[in-house]
Amino acid sequence: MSLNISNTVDNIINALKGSLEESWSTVSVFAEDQAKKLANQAAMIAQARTLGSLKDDDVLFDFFIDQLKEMTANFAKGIANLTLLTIEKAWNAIVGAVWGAINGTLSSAVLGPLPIPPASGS
Amino acid sequence: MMLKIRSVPIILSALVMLALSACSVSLAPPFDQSLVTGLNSANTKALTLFSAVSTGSTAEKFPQYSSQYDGLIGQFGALRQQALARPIPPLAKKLAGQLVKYKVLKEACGDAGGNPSSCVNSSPNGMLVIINNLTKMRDVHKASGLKKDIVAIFKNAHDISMSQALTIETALKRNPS
Repeated sequence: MSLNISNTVDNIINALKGSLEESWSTVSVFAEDQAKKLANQAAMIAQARTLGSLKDDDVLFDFFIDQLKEMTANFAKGIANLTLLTIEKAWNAIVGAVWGAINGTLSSAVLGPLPIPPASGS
Repeated sequence: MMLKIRSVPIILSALVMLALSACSVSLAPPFDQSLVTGLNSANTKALTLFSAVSTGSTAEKFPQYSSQYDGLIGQFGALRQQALARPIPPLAKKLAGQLVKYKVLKEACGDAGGNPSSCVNSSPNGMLVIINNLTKMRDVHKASGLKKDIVAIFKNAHDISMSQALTIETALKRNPS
């Protein structure tokens, strides 16, 4: 039995689509939530500085501003981390679909399956 | 446009590294259920403290809360150590090492010590903000008491960083392929 190229292509695309959709959903929910909370934090700091308890407290005001910068940078790092996970999922989905096709053909010829080899550096 | 041109070698080097591996890859640390459980447990305790002082609290009342602050700071510190001690997959380490060769990403992903892994294993960054936030809140409470609007800012900072840490930790749970 020969390998069905059309089915394999469909399997690769479907595997990729599924993994990317799931990853995008995680990223978009996270990004929206963080954007709202960071904007709210900036507004609360500004409000407290102009009319509230930070009006005469330079030390605590500076602490919150530095913290806001750090949290914003951490948000970007989190997105980078999620992007790496997306690349990992996409790559492994493709490799899994290709190996699945090969193993499907091998098993129909009563040959043992090929294990997906680990990456040399992973 | 400049960013796009600059991004080309970065993307190419990432793809070349992946292509050379040509097999299944791991680009982030393994999932650790005990970290997620620990973060949720510590978060519940932290939210209880924020709730108790949400309308403000005087410096005289600080002794009532002192042990809660110390317990939380210790608990989040231990969780951060656990997250930092996780093995980073060798390919992820290599990739992070390549990425920080580019100025724009070095500024974003390289920490003060030159460690490039803060974009590969990013949840400890959020945990550090949580620890520093609770430490500052404790010190302010002890020295001069907490006003209602200040508690709200401390709490929102906690929420932002907790969400960062929990989102990443949860995303590390990959579906079995």
